[in-house]
Amino acid sequence: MLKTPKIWTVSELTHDIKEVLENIFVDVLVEGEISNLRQPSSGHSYFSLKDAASSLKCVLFRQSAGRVKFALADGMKVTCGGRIGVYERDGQYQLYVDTAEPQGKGSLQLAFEQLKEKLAKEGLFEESRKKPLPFLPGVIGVVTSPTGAVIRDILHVLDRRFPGHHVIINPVRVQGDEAKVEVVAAIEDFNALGNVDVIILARGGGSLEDLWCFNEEAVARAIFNSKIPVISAIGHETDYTIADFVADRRAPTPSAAAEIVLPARSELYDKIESLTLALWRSLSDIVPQHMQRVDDLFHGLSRAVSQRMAREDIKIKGLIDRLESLSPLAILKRGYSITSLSGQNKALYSAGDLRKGDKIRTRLSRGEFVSEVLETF
Amino acid sequence: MGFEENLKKLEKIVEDLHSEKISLEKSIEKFEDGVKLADSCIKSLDSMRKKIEVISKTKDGKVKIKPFEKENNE
Repeated sequence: MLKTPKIWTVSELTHDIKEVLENIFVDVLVEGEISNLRQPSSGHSYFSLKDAASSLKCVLFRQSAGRVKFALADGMKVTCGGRIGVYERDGQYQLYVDTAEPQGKGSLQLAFEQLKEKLAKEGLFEESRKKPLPFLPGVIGVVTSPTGAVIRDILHVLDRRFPGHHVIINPVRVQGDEAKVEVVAAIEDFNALGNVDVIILARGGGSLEDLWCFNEEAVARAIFNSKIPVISAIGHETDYTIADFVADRRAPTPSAAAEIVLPARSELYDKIESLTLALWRSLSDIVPQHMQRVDDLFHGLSRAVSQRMAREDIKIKGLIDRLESLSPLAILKRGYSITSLSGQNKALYSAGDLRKGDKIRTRLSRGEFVSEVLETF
Repeated sequence: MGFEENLKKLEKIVEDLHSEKISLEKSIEKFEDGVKLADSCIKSLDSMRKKIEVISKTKDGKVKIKPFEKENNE
C-alpha cells in the first residue's frame, strides 16, 4: 500500500519543532563567549553565545536581568542557564537565559568589581566628595535591623561613651531582595525628614551573598545623594562593600561606628576643663606681663629723669662758677680787700667820705679787721 | 546647639591669649568671653538627655516616630 507522504505547512512543522525542542531543552546550561551584545532601552539583552564552530542566539529578558548581578560584555566567557524556545515567526530557536555565571570567578565577585569600577569612574568614591562628620551630632540616625546584635552593640557603645545621646532608628531588612529597597528608602526618609545630623548604615557580618544589598548600585547612589553624612558599618573589619567606598566614612564594625560618631563625653568635659585652666593661666601670665612692663617703664622713666638731672647739674655748676668769678669774694681771693664804714655794708670808694677817727671795717679774702682813720688825703 | 562652634571659639581665645600681641583690656575681655563659652559648653553637655526612637510607617506612607523598646527576648 502506498502511503502518500505527509505535506506539512510551515506553521505545523515549526509548531512541532517548537514542541520537540522546548520539551527536550527545558533546563540547559551552555557555555560560550558573548558576542553581538545589544541592550536596548527596553531592558532586555540580546546576544549570541559562540564557540569555535557554532553560535547560539540568546535573550535575557528584563524580568530575569535582576538575577544576573554583573554586566554582560562582548568577549566575556559565561555559562548561561535557561530554556530553548522557538520563535515561530522567524523559525528561529534561541536560549531564554535565566541565569548567567562568568567563568573564572563568581558572578557576585565580578559584579562587585564592575560596579566598583563604574562608580569610581563616575567619581562617587572621590575623597573630595565626602562630607565631614559633625563633631557632636545632636541626633544620630541608624539604618539597620531593629533586632539582633548590631543595634544592641551600637546602643551599648553609645551608652558607654556618651550617656545622653539621641538616636533615631530607621528599621530595615538587611538581607534578601527587599533589603536594598528598604535601605534606599530609609536613607531617603532621613534626608526628607532632616531630623538627624548623621546616619549610620549598619549590618553584622555575613557572606558576600548576605551583604549583597550593600553592593547594589541603588544603595550606593542613595548614600552618595544623601545630604546627611553617612557612616557605613557593614560586616567585619575585612569586609569591604561598595557602600563602604561611597560612604563619607567607613567604620570597620558597627561598634566602631558608634565610637566614631560621637566623642566620649568625659573627654569633652576634660577638654573644656583644660581650656578653662589655660584661660586662667594665660590671665595670670598676662597680668604680671603687663605689670612688668609698667615696672620697666617706671624704671626707664626714673633713669631718664636722673640722667637729665645729672646733665642739668653740670650746667648749674658752670653757672655757679661763672657767678662766682663775678663775685666780689673772688676778687678778694686775688688779694684785694673791701672797706666800709664800720656798721655799714656799703663799700667805700672815696677817702673824702672819711674823717679822722672814723672806724672802718676791712674785709679780706679770709677774715676782717677794724681800724681807725688817722689821716685822710 | 553650637557646641562645636563654642568649643572652637574657646580654643581660639586660649590661643590668642597666649600670643601676647594683645592689649590688657582686650585680653581681659577675651578672658571673660572664654569663661562664658566654657560655661555654655558645659551646659550643652549637661543638657543632653538620652533618647532612643524608632521610625515606623503607616500604610499610607506617613512617618511616625515612637520610643524604641528593645526586644524582650534577649
